[in-house]
Amino acid sequence: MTETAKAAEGAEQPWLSPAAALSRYTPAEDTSTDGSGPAIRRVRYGFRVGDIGLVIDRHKASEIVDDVPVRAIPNTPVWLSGLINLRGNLVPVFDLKALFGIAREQSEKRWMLIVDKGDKAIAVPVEGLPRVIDIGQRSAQLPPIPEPLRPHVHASYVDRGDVWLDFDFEGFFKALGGQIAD
Amino acid sequence: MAINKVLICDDAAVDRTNLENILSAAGCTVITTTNGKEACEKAKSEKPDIIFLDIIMPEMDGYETCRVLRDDPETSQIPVVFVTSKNQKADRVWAQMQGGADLVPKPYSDEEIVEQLKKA
Repeated sequence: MTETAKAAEGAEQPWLSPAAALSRYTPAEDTSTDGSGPAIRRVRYGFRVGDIGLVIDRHKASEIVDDVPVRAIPNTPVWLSGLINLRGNLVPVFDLKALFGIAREQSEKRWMLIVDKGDKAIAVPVEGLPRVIDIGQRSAQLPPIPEPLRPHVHASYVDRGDVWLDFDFEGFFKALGGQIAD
Repeated sequence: MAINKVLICDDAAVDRTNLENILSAAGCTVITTTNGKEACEKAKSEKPDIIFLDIIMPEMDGYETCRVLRDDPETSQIPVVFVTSKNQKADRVWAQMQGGADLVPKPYSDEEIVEQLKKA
């Protein structure tokens, strides 16, 4: 046995990344709802970051723009891509793929989802255009979630076979902003 | 559907007047507003047959205005046509997701605007 093979044999199996784990998650048939009565159907917007589906309030999503040049900010975390100029308003770009440890393929088409407006606006690169999500069917259990997002997720939903995470948008980005300030 | 009453919302006076001239010449009664909040109020009180809505406006932009109109049972059925300088594929998809019937990119011809009256 070669030294390399011995090392491989002795090494622990690496953990799946949260994104990979999430992509393997399939809600069981009998756990698709929490059983607390008739589901209240609400329409929200869903967008994908790698394999992770996130939903936000319909009124929070301001607009979608084509992938525009991002100007980097020195000495900031890799997930803060920089700033874009949105009609004279400088908007920070949070690369959630980088934050969640998901590799980006250079060839992939991206859009910028602009969330909130004015001084509160932020941009999130997304693959594919957001879609309307009917979040009436709540999952009884949460799937594996990337660590930075975990404290901010309220619930998960299943819509047309895909899992979508409902999260505290403001709390999540406030926490990220706090990391930058530190 | 015969279009008699039209609501225009645009913060730019030149664009507003231009649209007003085109639609008046087409025989419509035109109501003009300069911001999204005013447009929502007028839509409820005047019950126009169609709304021409700019997107880029301060305070309440056209997308948000359209969402508010769609959420109100009194205005949810009024067709909204976005009239805007935004004309990327993403803009069209997003406009549709907000409940817009169509999007007319600026600069537009008189015919493109009048065509919207026939579609409604």
